[in-house]
Amino acid sequence: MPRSDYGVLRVQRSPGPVSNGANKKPVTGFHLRPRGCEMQSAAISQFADWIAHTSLSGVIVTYEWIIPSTQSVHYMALAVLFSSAAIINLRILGLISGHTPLTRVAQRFAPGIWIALVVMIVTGLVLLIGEPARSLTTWEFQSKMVMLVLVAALTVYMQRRIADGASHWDVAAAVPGTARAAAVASLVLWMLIIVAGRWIAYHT
Amino acid sequence: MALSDFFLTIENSAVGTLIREGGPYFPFLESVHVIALTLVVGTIVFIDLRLLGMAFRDLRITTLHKDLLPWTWGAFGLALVTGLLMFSATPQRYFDNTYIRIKFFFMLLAGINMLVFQFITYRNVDKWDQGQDGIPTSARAAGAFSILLWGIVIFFGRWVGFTL
Repeated sequence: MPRSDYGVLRVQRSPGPVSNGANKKPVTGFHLRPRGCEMQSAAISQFADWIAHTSLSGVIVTYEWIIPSTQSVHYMALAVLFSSAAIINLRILGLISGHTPLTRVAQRFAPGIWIALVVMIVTGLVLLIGEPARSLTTWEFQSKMVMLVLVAALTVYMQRRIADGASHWDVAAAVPGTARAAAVASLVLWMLIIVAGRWIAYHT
Repeated sequence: MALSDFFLTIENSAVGTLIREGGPYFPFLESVHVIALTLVVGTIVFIDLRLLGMAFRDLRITTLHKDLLPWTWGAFGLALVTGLLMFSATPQRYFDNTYIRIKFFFMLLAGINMLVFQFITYRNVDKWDQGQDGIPTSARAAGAFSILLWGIVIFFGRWVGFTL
């Protein structure tokens, strides 16, 4: 049976934040991590434990509808964010809206990325406070956050390049290789972030 | 009876078994399903927001429509394929799930809303293609309903994961 999100349901039915999975040992599946990071893992685990014992965390897991509803809003914002990012990147690659200058396409769709990102951070925080151990201590969540920082920096850089009047980016055939590479990297990173996000639900 | 036999055949098929028992296949399909559905809903919502005058006011409705719809349908195809593959893992469980039934009911409503817009409202789009003033109430309503209905579809879709 697909175990999608089953853990969440189980957690929600358990009374009190103590059984929130927060007391589990920190996940140590980081084969690539240097040994010195173990202290850091313990600190993260303690922090997760502390969050799990806050009253806010208790409220979030007490009501069964809060987590699925918050996830739904998270997904709706994701729809706007990923579609906006996809349109700009596909335009750089010459795969959409070839008749419209890239600068215009970026002006139109870039705000959607940042507005949706704010909604996603707020809803993401609610999910994190509700189930801190499931996210903070897992390599799925940690790599998701690293990729998020990377793609945000890349997006800022690309938007500056486009706004700086990189007008030759407007013609697909003349788009420099670096711009194309950046567009592909951005698309891949966003998709990997989505995959990592879904993978959090399956962490064992 | 025939339906449950059919579901059992699917469940016991090589594909169904592999997805049900094959470790990363199910989460992977789910991830691709999410990527696809975000494109479906995102591109549809962009057109809805344009109809409501809340975004892209300087853009012709027909241009937005023409540029986005191929991606909407491509992504919809991907969501359909990944959805069917996930379904094949435990078809009877999905079929019996109340939340998935509600989800498909609202998808049907969203589809009807889209058909009415496409084949009735959109026919004289030439008159309100540019600017915001001429957009008929029926088109604005279609945009508002669309956002609402797709939001509900996502909500119940997400609930399915918690109830199987």
